[in-house]
Amino acid sequence: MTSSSSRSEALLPGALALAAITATAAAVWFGQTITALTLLGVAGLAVGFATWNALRIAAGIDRSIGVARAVAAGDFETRDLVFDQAGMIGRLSDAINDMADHLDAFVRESSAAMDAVRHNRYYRRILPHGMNGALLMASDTINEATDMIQARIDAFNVSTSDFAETINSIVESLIDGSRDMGDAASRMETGAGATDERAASVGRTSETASSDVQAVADAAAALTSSAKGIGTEVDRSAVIARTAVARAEETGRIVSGLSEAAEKIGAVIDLIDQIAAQTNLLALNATIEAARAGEAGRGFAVVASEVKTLAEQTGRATGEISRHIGEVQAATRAAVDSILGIGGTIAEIDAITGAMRSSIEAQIAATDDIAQNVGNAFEGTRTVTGDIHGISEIARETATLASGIRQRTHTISSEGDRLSATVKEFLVTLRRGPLDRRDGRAERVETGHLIEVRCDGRSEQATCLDVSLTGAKVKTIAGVAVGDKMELSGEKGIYCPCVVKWVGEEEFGVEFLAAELSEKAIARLRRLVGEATAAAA
Amino acid sequence: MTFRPEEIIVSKTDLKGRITYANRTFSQVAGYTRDELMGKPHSIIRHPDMPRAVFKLLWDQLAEKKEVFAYVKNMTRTGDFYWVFAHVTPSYDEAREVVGYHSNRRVPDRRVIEEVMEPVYADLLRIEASHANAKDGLKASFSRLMEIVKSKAASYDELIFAL
Repeated sequence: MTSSSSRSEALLPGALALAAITATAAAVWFGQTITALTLLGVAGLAVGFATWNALRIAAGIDRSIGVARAVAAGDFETRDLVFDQAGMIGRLSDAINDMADHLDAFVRESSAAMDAVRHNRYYRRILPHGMNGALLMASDTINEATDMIQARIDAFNVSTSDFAETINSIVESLIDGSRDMGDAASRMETGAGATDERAASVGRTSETASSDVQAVADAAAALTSSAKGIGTEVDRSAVIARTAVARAEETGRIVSGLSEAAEKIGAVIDLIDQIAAQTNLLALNATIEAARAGEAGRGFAVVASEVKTLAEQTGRATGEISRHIGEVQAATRAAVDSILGIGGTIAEIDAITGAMRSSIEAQIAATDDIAQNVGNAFEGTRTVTGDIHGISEIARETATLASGIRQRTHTISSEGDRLSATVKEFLVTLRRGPLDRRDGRAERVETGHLIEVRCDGRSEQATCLDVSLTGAKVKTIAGVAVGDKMELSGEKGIYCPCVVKWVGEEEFGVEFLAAELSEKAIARLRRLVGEATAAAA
Repeated sequence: MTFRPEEIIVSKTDLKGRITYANRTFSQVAGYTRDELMGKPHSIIRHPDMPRAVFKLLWDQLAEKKEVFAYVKNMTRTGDFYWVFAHVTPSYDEAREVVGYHSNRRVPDRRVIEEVMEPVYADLLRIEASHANAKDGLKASFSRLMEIVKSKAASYDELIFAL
């Protein structure tokens, strides 16, 4: 199996032929014809064998060249299929096949291991058995790299899940907090509205109260002045009463004087009456005397009778006067009595007006007090009205602020949701393929074909200007705004979800939502980018 | 019959499992010349102790263009046996079409053979033998194999690499 045995194997038929030819020449020299012919035959056989052997070796070498070229061209299916050849050509065949087998094994193992890594399976290692030398070293290197990738992916998964958990809990408490804040703001807004309404109502009431108080103040002032008028009248009536009392007393005295005069008249009348009685008696006596005197006395008797009649008349008159005087006296007594009564009554009136005077004074003082208090009350209600206006204003301001807070909390909530979704998407993208990133990922290729744009349930045709694995540029269609979610489709049934990142005058750019791209969509994008790159190359 | 750890037994077959190439180690270990092996079904070295469920798994995996690992007990020409750790993969042409299958067989870990494979295969074989109908037997033993895989690991491949 050594090179010396290979050499002897190659040289042997030639050497044999050479030796036979030399021996033939010697036999011819010595005239040994039979021997010479025999040796010539041997030489011929040796040459024939050498020729056959040379052809066999040439064929073997050709097959080996074929296998070696195939292996060099990356074809590991070709082998030398002429087995168990004798000698070095058999060994060459086995050696070439062995070489192909080991390279084949290494290629299959390493690509299988790397394919597993590509699909995020990290347990697949290159089996070291059957690998030797540089192949073994390369296998070890790849296995160590896989170990390292696995360790990093594990660490990465732990950190991303920690991160996701932390973000989620932050976002949750953010959303909870903003919801609570929003609720509080809503309540505050409602409360402020109610305060405003009540303040307005209080304001109205207070204004009414104010005008009522004003009316009361006016009434109190009027009452004070009328009380003062009454006071004056009472004063005047007191003076009048006192004057009346004095007059009544004077009248009483005058009437009493009249009574006395009447009594004096009665005394005179009694005297006249006595005179009349005496006159009557004298007349009687005169008559008697006249009767005695007879004729001479007749004239006298007439006079006596006349005197008697006069006396009688006087007596009747005095009687009548007495009666009248009695009546006058009775009348004066009644007058005095009634004047005294009037005086008493007027005194009573005076006393009453005195009492009235003090109660009117008290009334005036009271109405003054009322007027003052009402004035204070009026000031109070005016202040209340002003304060209430202030409260209303503050309440309205509070409502505006609360409404602002409520809107902000909505924004916080939706921003929180968006943050959560973005983080989720980010993590999904990260986890989906930490190894699926290539430098060519962001490579843009120009396309210019018609695509379907689906947005908000609308479907429109647009021209795709260029595309990469991460996004695309599209000729502007009406109504596109930054942040719009849409789906692009360049092939029936395959939609690429994306979000608008910028909008220019003639075109807009979208970023594909990596986490939502279907396998088909990813394949389509790869094909697009790949085809275009290949065409450019 | 054994072979050395730095050696591998290599064979290639067409899509129907007929041998299109065998290396010298194969020929030496199995006791057949390569001219005898060429064109023969690979089952020429199948040992009766091997449950059919393992080969079903192998062909199922290959049908999905997946690599497959298996501990296999093979039989030599003289009726002797040898264990291998086989790795079977599809071979592709330039159009990336599967044109055949390739098997590299390595020296297995004795411990895995004795502690895991022999008892499991014996179990599967018993199940296959207990059914009068071969089809039912295969079905039962294949689901038993899947049960064993599921109880131990996330997948068959992962289980094999964990052994």
